Amino acid sequence: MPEYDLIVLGAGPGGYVAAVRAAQLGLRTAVVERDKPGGICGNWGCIPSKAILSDAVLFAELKLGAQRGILADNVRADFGRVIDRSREVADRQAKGVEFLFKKNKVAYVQASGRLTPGGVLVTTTSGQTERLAARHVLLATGSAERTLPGLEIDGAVVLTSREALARRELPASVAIIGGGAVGVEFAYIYASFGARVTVVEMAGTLLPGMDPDLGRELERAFRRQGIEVLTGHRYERLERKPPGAEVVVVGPAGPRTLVTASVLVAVGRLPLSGDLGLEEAAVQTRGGFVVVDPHMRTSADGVYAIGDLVGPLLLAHAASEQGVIAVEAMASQGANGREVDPTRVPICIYCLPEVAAVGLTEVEARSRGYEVRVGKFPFRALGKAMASGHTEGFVKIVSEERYRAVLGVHMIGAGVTELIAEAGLARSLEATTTELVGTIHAHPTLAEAFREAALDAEGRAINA
Amino acid sequence: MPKLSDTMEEGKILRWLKHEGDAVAIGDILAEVETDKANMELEAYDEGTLAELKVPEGASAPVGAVIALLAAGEKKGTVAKASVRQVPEEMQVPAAGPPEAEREVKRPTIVRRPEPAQPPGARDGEPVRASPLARKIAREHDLDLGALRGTGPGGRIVEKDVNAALAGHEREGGAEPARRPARSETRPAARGRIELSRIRRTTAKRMGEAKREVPHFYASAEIAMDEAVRLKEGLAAQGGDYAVITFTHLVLKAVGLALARVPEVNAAYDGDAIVLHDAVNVGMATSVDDGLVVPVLHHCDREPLAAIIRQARGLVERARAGRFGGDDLSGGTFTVSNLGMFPVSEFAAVINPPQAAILAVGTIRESAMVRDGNVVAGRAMTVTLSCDHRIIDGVLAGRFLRELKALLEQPLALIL
Repeated sequence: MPEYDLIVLGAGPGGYVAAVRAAQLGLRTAVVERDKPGGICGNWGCIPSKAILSDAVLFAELKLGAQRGILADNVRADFGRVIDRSREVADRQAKGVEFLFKKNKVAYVQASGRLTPGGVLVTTTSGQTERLAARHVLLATGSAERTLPGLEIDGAVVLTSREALARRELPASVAIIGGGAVGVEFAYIYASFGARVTVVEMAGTLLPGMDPDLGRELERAFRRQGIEVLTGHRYERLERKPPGAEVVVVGPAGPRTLVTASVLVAVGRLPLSGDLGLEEAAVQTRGGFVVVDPHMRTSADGVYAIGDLVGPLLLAHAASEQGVIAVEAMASQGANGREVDPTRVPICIYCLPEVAAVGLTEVEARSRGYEVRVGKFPFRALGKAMASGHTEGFVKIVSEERYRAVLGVHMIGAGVTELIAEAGLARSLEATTTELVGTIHAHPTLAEAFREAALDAEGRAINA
Repeated sequence: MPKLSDTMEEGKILRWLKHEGDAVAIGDILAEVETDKANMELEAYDEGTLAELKVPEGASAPVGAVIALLAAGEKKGTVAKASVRQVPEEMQVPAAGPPEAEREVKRPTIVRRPEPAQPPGARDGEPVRASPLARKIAREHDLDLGALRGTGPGGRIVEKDVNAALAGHEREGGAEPARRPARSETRPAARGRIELSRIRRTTAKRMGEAKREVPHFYASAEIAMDEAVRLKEGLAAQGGDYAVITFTHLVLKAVGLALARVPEVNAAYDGDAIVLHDAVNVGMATSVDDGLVVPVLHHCDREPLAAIIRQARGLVERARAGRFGGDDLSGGTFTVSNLGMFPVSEFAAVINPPQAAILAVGTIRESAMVRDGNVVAGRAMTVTLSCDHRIIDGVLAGRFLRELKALLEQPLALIL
C-alpha cells in the first residue's frame, strides 16, 4: 500500500489549501516544497507586496495630510525598513502555513520533487533522493517571472518583482517594462516613495486584458501622481550604462531612449513545468502549461494539476479553488459538479487607485453576442468618497438587455478590492441588476456606488 | 386543501357536502374535490362545527390553502360568524404537510408513513430554488421551473439548466411538455386535435420527465405459473373474498413480499440521497376513460391476500366511477403495470417518479418448458422490471426478480 493517498508538489496558495482540504477528507497527505511554505504568493508576491503597498499608501496620505489639516513635518520614508517589515509579514505567513500542516497532520517535505511511476522522487538540498509512493499526485509548482531577450536579470540594475521585493535600496529612477498588474503596483510603490517612474506598455492602455476604461482611468491617475505612462510602446533593447542603463522603446512617434537607474521587468509569468518529469509520465502540456480537464485531471492517471501551472488565470484564489476541486474529485472518485468558471473569478490590483473586476468586459460581452447595457457611476458623486477624499474612479456594470443579468463588474477607486466581493456574489448567484437595485446599501459607504451603477444600467440613476 | 395525490398542486371544490354551522364528525365527507387525477372525496380529519367555507363551489385552491374553518366543541348552529375569525389556527382544517402529532392520533383513516420523495425541483410547500436569472428566463419562456432539475449548489436551478431545457424543447420540434398548459390553448386548433384531459396532461408531463431524466434499464424473468394457476383456482373455489381473485392480486401480494425482502428496490432517488420507504405501497396502473391512474394498495407486504383482494376491488370500482377518496392515489412506493389480459407476452414500462422501479407483467401463456431434462407443457409469464439506474444496479434487479419468481412459482407463501 502506498505511503500516501496524495502528494502535493508545491506549497503555494494552490498546494497548501489542497493539502489541508485533503487531510480534512481523510487522505494521508504530504506536501513537497523546495522553498518555503506559502509559495510565491506568501513569500514573493501577494502578501509582501501588499505590506509594501500599504506603507506606500500611508506615506502618500501623510504627505497629502497638509491639505486636510493634518500637519506633519519632515515626513520621511525608510525604504529599507519598509522592505524588512514586508519580509517579516512574509515569514509570519510561511509559519502560518507550516502550522496548518502540523494541525492537519500533513507531512511536510522540504525538497524538490518530480513524478516517478507510482509516486514522487524527491531530492533534498543536500542531494539525497528518496521515492515516495502515492495514489495521487497534485502538481502545484506554480510559475516564475518571465523576461525578454536582452533583459538578463542581474538583481542590481535589471530586476523582476522577485528581486525588487528583496532590495532594500530605493532606486532614484525606474523604467518598468509591462503595464499589467505587477507593473502598475510597483510603479505606484516606487513613485510614492519618491522615485521617478516610467511605465512602458505595448498595448493601447494599462492593464491589457481588463476593461480598457480601467486602464485609461488608471493612466490619468498615474499622470497626476507624476508617473510617466508610455502606452503603445514596445521595448526594443537595453544598454547597460553604469551605474544604470538606457532602455530604447518604440512608440507611435518613433524610438525613444529612457535613461534610468533601474529596470523592472514585469512581462508576465511562465509555468514551472520543466523539471517535473511530465514527459516520462505522459502528462500532456501545451505551451508549457499542463493540460487539465474541469476536475483538474491531467492526461496521466492519478496526476492532477492546478494553479499557475495550468494557466491562464494566474491568481492565488483561483489556484486555491482548483486545489479544492481536484482533491474533492480524488476523494469522491469522480465528478463533484464543481469547476472554476473564469467569469466568476475576481481580479484585484492594489495600487492607488485600486482596480478590481469580475466577469466579462464590455467588449467580451458584445463579442459573445449579448446586447449590452452598461451602468457607470463615478465615486466623485458619492458622499462617502467626498468625505474621505478619495474621489477618483468609478464602478462600471456590464449587464445584458434582456434579463438584466450581471455579466461583469469593473471598478477603479479607493477600496474597490474589497467592494468586488459583492460583485462576485452577484455573479455566482446569477443576480440581475434588479436584485442589486433591490438590495439596500448603507449610507454613507463606498458600496453605494455599486447599487448606483446598477440603477444607471436600468436607466434610473439617482445621484448622477 | 390537502394533497390528495402525489402530483396534486391544486384542487377545485366541486360541491360542499357540509355547510356552515353543520356538525362534523371524523370521517364525514366534507366536499367533493377535483384534482389533477380524479374527483375525490375530502374527509374530515377532526370533529367540530364547520364555521366558515373559504372557497366557494366551483373555485380552486392550491394545496396547503385554507378552504374552511372548523370550530372545536361548539354545538350545531351556534357559531356566529363574528367568532369564527377568532378560531385559532390549529383548528383549521389541516392542510398538506406534516400535521402535529396530536391531530395525527385522531385520524383513523390516514396511516403515518414516511413522505415519499418529491418530484424534481418543487418540494411540498417549499418554493422552487432557482437563481434570479433562471427565474427571469423561465418567466419569459413560460417554462415551469418545478419540472426542472437544478445543477447549481444544493440542486438550485441556474441559467444553464433553464437554457438546456429550452434547447431541449427546440430539438424536440417544439413539443413543450414542461411548459405551462396555457401555452397550448393559444395554438390554432387542428383537425382531429383532442385537448388533453387533466389526467392525460399530468401523465404526459410526468412520463416525459421520467423518460428524459431517469436512466432506465430493464431486466426480465420468465416465471412458471402452473402452481399459481392451481392456487388461484383452489382459492376461487373457496368463495367469499376469494371468489373474485385474479392473477393481479397474486402478483401484487408477491411483489409486496419481494419488496420487503429486497427493500433497496422500494426506494426513491432524491438528488443526493436514496430514500428507503418503510411502507410497501404498490400502485397498480389502471386505465380509466380519460387516461391512466395509479391507485395504491397500502402495505402489500403485511396485508393478507384476502384484504388485498378487497382493497384492489374497491380501488378499481372507485377508479371506474372517477371518485377516489382519502389516500387512494398517494403514497405509492412501487408500481405494477399488468397487460396480462391482452396477448402481450412481455413489455417494458416507464418508471413513475420518484419511485425507483416499475414491474411490467405479461400474459400467462402455454409454453414448452424443460423440466428434469424433459420438455413438458407448462404455463409461463414474463415480467420485466424497469429500474432507475441511478440507485438500482443490475444485481439488485436480479435479486428482486429471484424473490418474485420464487414466490410465484411456490405460491403458498402468498396466503400464509
